[in-house]
Amino acid sequence: MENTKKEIYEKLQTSLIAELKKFKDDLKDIDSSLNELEQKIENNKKYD
Amino acid sequence: MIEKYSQNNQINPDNEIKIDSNERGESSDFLFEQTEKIFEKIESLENKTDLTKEDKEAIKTIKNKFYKISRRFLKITGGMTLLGLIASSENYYKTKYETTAEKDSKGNTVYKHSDTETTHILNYFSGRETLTEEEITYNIRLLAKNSAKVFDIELPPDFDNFNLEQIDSFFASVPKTKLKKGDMINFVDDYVDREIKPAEDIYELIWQLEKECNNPKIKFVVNPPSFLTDNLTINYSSLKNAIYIDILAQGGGPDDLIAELAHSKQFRGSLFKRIIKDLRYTKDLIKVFLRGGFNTERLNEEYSKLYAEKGTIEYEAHSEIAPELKEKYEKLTKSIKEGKHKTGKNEWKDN
Repeated sequence: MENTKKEIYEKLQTSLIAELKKFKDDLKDIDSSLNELEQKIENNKKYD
Repeated sequence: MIEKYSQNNQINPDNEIKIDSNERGESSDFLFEQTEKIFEKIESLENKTDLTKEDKEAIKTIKNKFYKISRRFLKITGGMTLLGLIASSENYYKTKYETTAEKDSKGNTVYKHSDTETTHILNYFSGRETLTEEEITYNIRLLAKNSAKVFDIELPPDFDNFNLEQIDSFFASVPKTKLKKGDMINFVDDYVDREIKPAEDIYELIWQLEKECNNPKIKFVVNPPSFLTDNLTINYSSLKNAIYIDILAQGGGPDDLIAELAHSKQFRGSLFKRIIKDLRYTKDLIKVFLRGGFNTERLNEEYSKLYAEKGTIEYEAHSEIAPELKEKYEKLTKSIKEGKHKTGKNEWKDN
C-alpha cells in the first residue's frame, strides 16, 4: 500500500512539474505571437 | 512553518520537488508576471486605433488561446490536488494518535503518547528527560555530514563510528577558511550545554497543549523536510500529523514547539474539515507559485508573505492560534518564576 501511495505521489509530482513547464512554454508562445502581431501592426502603419 | 506542498497533501513528503538551476535562472517573470504582461499586451493591442479586421481577429485568437491554456492549467492542477487529497485521506485515520495519563506508584501523573519518541521529546521539553548521548551523537554526526557536503570537506572513511570528541577534534583540524564563523565546533558545545529547566507545571502544560492540539507525533530530525527552503528548523506535516524539529537548531525550545502545535490544532477535527484546510493551503501555495514562479528565492520570499496575510493558513496558525497557546505557556512560566506556583522537581516524588 505504501509503495502504491508512493507511486501515486511520485506520478502527481512529476505531472505537476510537467504541467507547470508546459504552461510556462505556452505562455512564452503566446507572448511571442503577441510580439509578432504587434510588430506586424507597426509595420503596416509605416507602409500606410 | 507548515510543511509545504510536498508535506501537506498532494505530494509525497519524502520526495521533495527539485527544480533545476536552468529553470530558476530564467523564471523570475514566470506565471504571475508573465500572465500579467500578456493581459497588458492584449489590452494595449485592443486599444490601438486603425486596426484591420484581420488584426482584430488575430488578437481574438491569441486571447482565446490564452484563456484556454489558463483554464486547462488550473483544471489539471486542481484535479491533481483533489487526487492528492483523496490519496492522503487514509492518513487522516492512521495519524489519529492518543495520549494517556496514568498514576505511578507514588501518585505522580505520568503521560504517554502512542509514539515512544514523542513521549520522550515532550518529556524533554518539559524538563523531565534529557537527550541521550546516543541521539546527540547521531544528530551531530548527521549535521557534520551535511556541513562537510556544503563546505566540501572530505570526511574520514570511519566517520560513522566517531564519537562527539572525535567529531569535535576532526572539525577543529579543518582549516578555518573552510568554515563559517559559529559553525560546527561552537555548535557542538552550544548544543550539548542546552538544557530546559524542569518544572512540574510545565510538564502538565506541555502535555495539555499536546492533547489540545490533536496529539501530533513529534520527531527530532536534522534539517526538517521542506519543499521550498533548506534552512527550516521546525515544520508541521498535516499529512502525517507530525511536527519535525531540528534537534540541533539553536533556540529550538518550547516556543518553536508551541508555534507548530498551532498548526496541529488548526487541522484538528473531522476529515472534511481537514480537507477544507488542505484546500485552503493549496490555494495559498498556488498564490505563492503564481507570484514566485520557478525562482526559489522568490518562492521563499512569497511564502514568507503568507504569514502576514490575513486569511492564509500560516496567518491563522501563527497570528491567531499560536498567540493563545503561547499566552497560556508564558502566564504559567511567569508565575513559576515569581514563585506563585509549585516548581517541579520538589513536587515530583522520586521513587
